[in-house]
Amino acid sequence: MAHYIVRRLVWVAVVLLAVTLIVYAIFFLLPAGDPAVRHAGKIPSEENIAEVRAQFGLDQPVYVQYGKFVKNFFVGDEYGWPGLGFSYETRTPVRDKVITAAPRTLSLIAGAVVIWLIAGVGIGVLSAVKRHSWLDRLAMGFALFGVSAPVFWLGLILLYVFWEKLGWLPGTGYVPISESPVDWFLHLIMPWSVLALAFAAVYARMTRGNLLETMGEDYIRTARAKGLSERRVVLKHGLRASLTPIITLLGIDMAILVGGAVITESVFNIQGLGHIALTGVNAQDLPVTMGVIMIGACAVVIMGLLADIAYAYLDPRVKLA
Amino acid sequence: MPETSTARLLEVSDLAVHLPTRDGVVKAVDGISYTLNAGETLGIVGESGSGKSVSCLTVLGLINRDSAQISGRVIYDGSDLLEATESELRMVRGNEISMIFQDPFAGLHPLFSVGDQLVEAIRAHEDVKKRVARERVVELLHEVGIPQAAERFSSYPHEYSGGMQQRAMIAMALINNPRILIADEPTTALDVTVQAQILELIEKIKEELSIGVILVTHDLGVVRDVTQNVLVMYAGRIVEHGSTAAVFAEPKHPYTWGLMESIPLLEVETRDLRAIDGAPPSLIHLPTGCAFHPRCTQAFEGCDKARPELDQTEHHQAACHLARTDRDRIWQERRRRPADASR
Repeated sequence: MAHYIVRRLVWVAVVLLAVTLIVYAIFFLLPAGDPAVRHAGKIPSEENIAEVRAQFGLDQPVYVQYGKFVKNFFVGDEYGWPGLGFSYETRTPVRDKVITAAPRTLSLIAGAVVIWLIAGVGIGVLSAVKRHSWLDRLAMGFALFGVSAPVFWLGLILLYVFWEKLGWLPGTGYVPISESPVDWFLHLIMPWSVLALAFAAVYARMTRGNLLETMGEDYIRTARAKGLSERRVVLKHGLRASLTPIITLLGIDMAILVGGAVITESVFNIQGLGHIALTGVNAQDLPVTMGVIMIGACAVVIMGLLADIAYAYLDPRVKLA
Repeated sequence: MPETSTARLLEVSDLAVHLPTRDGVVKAVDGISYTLNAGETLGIVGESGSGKSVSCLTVLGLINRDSAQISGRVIYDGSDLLEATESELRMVRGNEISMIFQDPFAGLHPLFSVGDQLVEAIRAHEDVKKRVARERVVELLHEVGIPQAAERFSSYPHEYSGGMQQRAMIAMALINNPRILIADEPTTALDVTVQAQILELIEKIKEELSIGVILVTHDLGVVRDVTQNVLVMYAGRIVEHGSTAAVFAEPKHPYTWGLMESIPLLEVETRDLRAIDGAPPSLIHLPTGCAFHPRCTQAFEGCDKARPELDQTEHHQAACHLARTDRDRIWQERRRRPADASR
């Protein structure tokens, strides 16, 4: 096991390296304009531009810049570990931005996961058990709506109804949990729901499909032949086998959201990682873009590793090697 | 002999299971009757799709009762299991009547340890502490011949060999001391050497516990070795029924003849093996008259008109239009004749 994890961690490093290389290549190959010109002031002189260029390190060859970035990422820079560089736009360390934004995104993801798991698996089980009933049709209709409803539209509708019209919930923005857990919660209910909806829909469909397949297995017949109650047959024997692939998918979905809840964050003005990634890209702020991408990439590879370990833990037939 | 050993355990009469499908009604079981006594092993033989498994599953209510049309009676312990509620059936399953299946690997849950699955079987019917249940499980695993039962308790099904998996399934079926064991092709998925061991185990258990065993198989050799009575099924109906000794000595139905000629049995003089021509019929569009007549070597005019009923004789019956004296004569001729002559 330990051997396996070490080997996988080496691979994590290799993947991260490949990610940096690709992002760097895209950034420098695309004709997006010179960041130094953009950030040197309204009517910059040649000297200004040269000065900014030197300040950003853009006067050095690309491979030197790249090498420096990689080194800083793995061993840290003057602002600490991991070294993510200095924002062109705001002239602050990217690491600080990430540290401010990460709890917001993580709060958003954590709550959404709870909602979508409970709703998705719950609806999926009901649907499978009451297959072809009106309940099943209703649930699968909900699933279709969930995957089709655009997040920005749904978010705005919720804001309009619950904030503007009814005034039941606070509007956009984010309150740290350390400041006020209640406000943190109230501010996040809508973003959680919106973000969770699409996933709940997918998970409901998946749970239903997996469970229906599992219920046709011989070992389900054995469980019934033992004299177990149908409830136990479904919820223990059926669901246990159906959930294994769902749990492993969950890891990856959560990881993707680390850098990817951009729309939800924008609609509800939660200035999380997705938000800084977006502003970074818009401002051609390479270090910021790079920083968020690296955090997102780390999340994906590490959650991938955890998912594999979880899989081996959940399914005794799987051997990690 | 103690009274229990001849007590009637199960009485199935006119059991029919019709399964509506998009293409029509599948008459999986179409009116079968039999009884099972304590200490008896009843063999049910027939080709795939003859209704053997479905009839057994129906006894335990393991056929979806909402979608199947089930009629007849299955009397166990004075009451009709077909009328029983789900919770009444649950008390019977795995407790009074147990069942084991063809593929033990598929039948064991892959994600729970074998021991836990057996403990669960105990606790489904009895309120005992896990520790106590565990001791009973280890003891029984040992009895059914699993080496190092205590260590094997925590192993998962995939860590067992095929034979051990079936032993574990048998242990699971026996853990609550049932009165009837239904074994649905328990050896089909196993190696030949292991098959013999499993059959011996079932025999031993039957003798020791004086339970009734229904053994579903397509292997006539197995039937001859371990059963006292046998049902031959074809297309959802019983075509021959009698004591195993009588059926093997003087089979009365052309289908049974075909089955006997298709396997090597030492005392039958046919040296070459013959297959029964054709394939089992569609259970949706059964042939008119005798369902076997399109494949029957002895079919004559009239076989496609009326459906033959089982003889009203006491110990050995067949459902065939041939006159009883003709049947005996034809079988005597057939068994002496070399295989080629029948072509």
